[in-house]
Amino acid sequence: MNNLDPSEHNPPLIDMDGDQSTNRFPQLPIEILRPILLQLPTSDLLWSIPKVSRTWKAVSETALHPSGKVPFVVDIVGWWWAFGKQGGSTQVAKVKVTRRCRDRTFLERPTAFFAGGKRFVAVGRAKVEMAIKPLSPVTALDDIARVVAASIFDSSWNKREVVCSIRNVLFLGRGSNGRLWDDLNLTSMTKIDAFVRVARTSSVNIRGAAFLQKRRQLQLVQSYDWITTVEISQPDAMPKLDDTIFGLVESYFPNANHLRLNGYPDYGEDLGAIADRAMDQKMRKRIRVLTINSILWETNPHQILRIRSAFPHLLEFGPLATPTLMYTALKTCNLITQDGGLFHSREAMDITLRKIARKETQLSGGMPRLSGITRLRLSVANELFRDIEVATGSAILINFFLPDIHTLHLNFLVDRSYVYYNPSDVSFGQAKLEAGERLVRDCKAEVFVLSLVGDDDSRERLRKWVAKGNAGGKRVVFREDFSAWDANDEV
Amino acid sequence: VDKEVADRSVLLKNMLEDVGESDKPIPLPNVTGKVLKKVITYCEHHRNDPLPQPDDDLDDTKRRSDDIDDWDADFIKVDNDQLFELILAANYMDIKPLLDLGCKTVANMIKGKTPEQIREMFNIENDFTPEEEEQIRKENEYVSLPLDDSMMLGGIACLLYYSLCIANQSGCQHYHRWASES
Repeated sequence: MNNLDPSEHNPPLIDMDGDQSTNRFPQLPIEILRPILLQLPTSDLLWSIPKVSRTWKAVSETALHPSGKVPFVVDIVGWWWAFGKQGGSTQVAKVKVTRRCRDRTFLERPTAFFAGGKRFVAVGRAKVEMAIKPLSPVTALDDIARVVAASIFDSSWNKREVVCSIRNVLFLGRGSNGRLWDDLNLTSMTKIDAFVRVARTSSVNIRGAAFLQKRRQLQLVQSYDWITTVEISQPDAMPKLDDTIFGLVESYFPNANHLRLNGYPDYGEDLGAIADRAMDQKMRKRIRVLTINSILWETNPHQILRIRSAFPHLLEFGPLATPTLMYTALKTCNLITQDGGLFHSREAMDITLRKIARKETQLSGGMPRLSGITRLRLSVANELFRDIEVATGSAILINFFLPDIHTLHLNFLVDRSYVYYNPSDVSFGQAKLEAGERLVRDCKAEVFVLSLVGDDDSRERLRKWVAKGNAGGKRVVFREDFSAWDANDEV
Repeated sequence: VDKEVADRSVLLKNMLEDVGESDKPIPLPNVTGKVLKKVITYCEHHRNDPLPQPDDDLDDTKRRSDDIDDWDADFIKVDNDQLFELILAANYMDIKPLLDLGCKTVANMIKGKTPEQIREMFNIENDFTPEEEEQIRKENEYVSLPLDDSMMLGGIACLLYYSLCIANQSGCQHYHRWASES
């Protein structure tokens, strides 16, 4: 092992003018800066880096170590003083910090250092480290983070309570059922609000009506500018993409660029009307992904073009019902990029393909094919592989629209997660395997990359199926997780 | 390059898996020949190392920038420009150990430096407004309110004073003798 001394191995550079230099480093792009900063001791990350520049400050504040260690600043409301009497102050309190405490040991075991082992709070601000553990990437909510440890105190020094509160915060971001809890009272919300600002989850799923009803009561005056995905769910009704929703997103999530509305599917929303309402909204140019699970099936291409005008930077939109609509969406929303040869799709497209597959006769609509696209990626977690008919239709669709298809990436689940969603349908995993086999057989791609998350038996079955020559000489590659896929799958 | 060496790069590994057995070259447009040669040297040296696992990152004990072995330390003794290109190449080719090595090296340069020194090193402009600087200063100031210490000392002083008062009022002979003698 060798402790590196920077001065030893960095010969001075000579710049173009021949001047003496400088040992300066080229300016670092943010994607590189982040892993570098994560190698630093927490004390540097917390105290020196934020003072360098705005960019470095922003990166240091959002740097999330894979272990879940994330530095943040927290205001503690209320304070406690030496003899255990709890003060009633509502002013922002700070934890006393001395220089000797500015290391990770302090951050993880703060009590040991306060005033010679005594717990002590003075007016001030604490920099604390909180551990967040990302959940498994195979879950649909792959950006959920979960607090596994925290070392901060609330006003009564009840550490456990505060940890629970932080957990609530992250459940607020993406909870176990993806809902904003209805029973948050003002007090806990105030506390949680402070923590959600540091939780740094990038997406939030809110229950439309409950949030809208309570937002004034909750007095949410702060905006969550790091949230990029907003999903509004209203399972028993249709969350209409109206001025209220636009206002909600604009007010609280000013940087949201993924907007998903999930409603009861039997209610339809007219795309043209959505487009008209969006035209007045400032946020329309920010939206990259728009998913509305309650649009009318009778939508026509003209309406999609209006959506395209309203959301000029849209990359993904759906779901859509007919091949004509799908094709229009692909062209107008840049869902297919000629240069990258990458066909991007997520769950919305799964539904689309399923619908299209059942209407394969409509494929003879005279639409031009999209030549030059060689790679197709499909995230087909649940819907597409429900039955063989759908797989066959999808293969027809792919063969038709993408005549140059060479590599088809598919990821699909055949594990217990399906049982969770569909406990009554025990044959689903079997059906998906058969559908996957059918798609490999019928699609004219030469290489199939199957990211198969599930039990070993299912994978083994597919392997045997391929080994028997059923793939017709096509190359089939198996992968056992979606992680690499997901990393590249963001729009 | 042997497949075993190429597999150190996740990017290359995935591409090779996709294309299968083929003699066609794989383009790496973002990496210069000089840097690629250096990358290959690294990968060849580490060809038998276990591939990094996703859980490795979860081990917080690995968050150290001073655990660089001798060969790596010697390997990374390059000028800053080349170090920068190596980091970019490792990031692009998804070679995590090399990326970690580069990041640790740069982190070692940063460690313990003042913000001014870091700005100088990385040619960064201080773009904070005076108001923002003041805000940062406030956020980072050390609050030194020795509330508990002062209260403790105050308590001791009060106790002492109270003891003296009691002693005085009770006319303790020992106390007066001691006081007059002293």
